[in-house]
Amino acid sequence: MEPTDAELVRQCRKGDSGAWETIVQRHHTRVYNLAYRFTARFDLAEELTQEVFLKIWRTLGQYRPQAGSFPTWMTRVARNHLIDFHRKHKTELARTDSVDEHSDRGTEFASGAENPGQTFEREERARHVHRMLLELPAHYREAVILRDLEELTYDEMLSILGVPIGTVKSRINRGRIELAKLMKSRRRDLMTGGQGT
Amino acid sequence: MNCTHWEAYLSDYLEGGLGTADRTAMDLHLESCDACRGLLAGIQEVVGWGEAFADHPAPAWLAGRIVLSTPPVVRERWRDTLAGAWRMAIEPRIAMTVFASVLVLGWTANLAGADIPNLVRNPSSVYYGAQNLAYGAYDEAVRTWYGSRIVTEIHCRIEQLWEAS
Repeated sequence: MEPTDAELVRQCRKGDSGAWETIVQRHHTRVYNLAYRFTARFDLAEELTQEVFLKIWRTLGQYRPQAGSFPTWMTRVARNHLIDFHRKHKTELARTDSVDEHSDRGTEFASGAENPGQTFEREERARHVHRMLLELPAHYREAVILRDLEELTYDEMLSILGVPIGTVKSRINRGRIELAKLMKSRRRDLMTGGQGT
Repeated sequence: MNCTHWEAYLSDYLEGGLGTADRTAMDLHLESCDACRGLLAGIQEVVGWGEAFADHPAPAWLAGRIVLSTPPVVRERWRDTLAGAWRMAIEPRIAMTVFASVLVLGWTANLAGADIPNLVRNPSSVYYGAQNLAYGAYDEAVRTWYGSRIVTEIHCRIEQLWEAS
């Protein structure tokens, strides 16, 4: 039977490097995807994942299994780091405005019965929406990412964001509305642009 | 109620988080409001996009690099702790500070009339001495209180009242 996260953390604190390796293997993809969703750049996601794990390693002593699951705690640490990063590099990120578009990295979609054309189309749409997601204010963006992309429950979000449930719900709703309005306006721009040419 | 009111509940409506009455009211509003219906469709699209969003596999080298860049754990044993404390104690600055403090305290106590050789021989005398002082101060305070004019006056008045009743 595989050891639980709490057991692995306990072993890590005792100096078991194998336990730490297991934790990294088990959770690095999740942190990597979270970082990618916040930054929309693979190179930054790789760098930030390493930084987040270093932070997790340093603060491992603060994790209390009775206060919540390890992935939730880890996501909170990652989210704080990503927000800090975003604050420090806000202008730079806004200037580059570059969702990694020409990536040869594989993607795993929910449906496996797609032909390459459909997959490409879906990827294109996802990148398009992702770009718009980055235009939202930080607190709406993180709420939408955690709820709709990371598929966290409200309880997990409460624990990660540390704000009342009403605020969590309102941020998710407002974030979705803003994103929907952005999508609509871009679609309208595209149509009017198309008619003009 | 206007559209701004209903906008706040669109996500709850989609996720089935509204009560029956609110849900019915929302249904009624949506039937008559094109803008809110359009917004609801937009939110549905956002949620659907989120569900279909790609999970990117992390590069194969990433986990290995994270593990390599993690500093190794060095467990401190009690011997290391003692050795550390000793190293700190024999540092010239700390040793000089301790020496100077002992000297100044000794001189001060001597000037105040403390019997240092006796204190060293019998440290509990400090406690008993302090206890005697405290008891003495308490007795003095009680005597002063009962001998004071105001307390005597109050006693007299109470006695007069008793006699009168």
